[in-house]
Amino acid sequence: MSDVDDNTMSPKWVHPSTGEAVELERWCWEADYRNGYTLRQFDYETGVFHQFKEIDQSRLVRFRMVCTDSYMFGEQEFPVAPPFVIEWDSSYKLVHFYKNFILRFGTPEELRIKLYCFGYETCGHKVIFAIMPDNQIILAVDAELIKVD
Amino acid sequence: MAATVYISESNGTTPTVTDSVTNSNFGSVGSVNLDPDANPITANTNSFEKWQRFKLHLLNGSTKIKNLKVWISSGSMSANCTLKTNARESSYDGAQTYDTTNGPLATDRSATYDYAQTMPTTTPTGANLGIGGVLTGELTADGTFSDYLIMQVQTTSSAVAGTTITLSYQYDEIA
Repeated sequence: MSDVDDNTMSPKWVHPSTGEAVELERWCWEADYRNGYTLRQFDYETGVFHQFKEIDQSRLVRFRMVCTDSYMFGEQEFPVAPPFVIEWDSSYKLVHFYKNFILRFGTPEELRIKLYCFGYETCGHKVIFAIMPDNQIILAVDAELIKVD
Repeated sequence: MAATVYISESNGTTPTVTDSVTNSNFGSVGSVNLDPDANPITANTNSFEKWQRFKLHLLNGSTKIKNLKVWISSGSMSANCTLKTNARESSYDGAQTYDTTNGPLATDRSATYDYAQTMPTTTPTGANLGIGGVLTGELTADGTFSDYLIMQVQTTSSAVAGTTITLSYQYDEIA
């Protein structure tokens, strides 16, 4: 397990280059390689945070987005949403980014929203999925067409 | 959360830079987070310009910020009021240099600072505010800024009180 903050009991992840603490995301990526190894954005075993650019796409068999929000059922913990999985093809070029919105800035209704966007480019077109705040997923051929008002 | 991004505003001649402003209220003074009721814009005059920037405060594990957008997300200007800006998706005129002699003014300087465009009322398709003078620019280090977003409310003699709009901002973050 990663280090645990004594005050909050929440796991802490460390950026390997800068040593900075990195906060866990609500949705995180996991990359399965052909040799059975899984590179995780937030590695629970080592406490290391991995950047997207560390993924070796030539070794991928699967890319997955997993939800870190969870609920308890009895004594078991379950994610509030199932993972979204892309079975990999060698023609794919992986895409992953966050789309951030500051809506109705400066008003009592101000809202900050982060969409977790991922997908791939292949044969001249893109397939982009966006995970919305309610954990629903939408599909777009152009990330710029994803709008939140 | 990952990267921390502020809307930062510059005022005065030095200038004074205020990070994480709480609103974009326009009025008859050049100050941050102003009270529009106490500083109304008289018909046939302009508001003081707003000179704002996106500030990448902390990357917090991410690698870059890009694709900056700003638009009017609700409300509409009356026929006699216009929100002018330098934000634009095409023919972007590059980064504007802050006027350290005068600071923001209520004068229409749209020709000098290229803010003659009307603020869009729908989400722009592409970036409409640049970084490093280009719409394809990126912020990659803590404490760095986008180009200035310049805005000014301009009115005619027929303008009436009561117009309220809200602005929204957007950016992409690469983790």
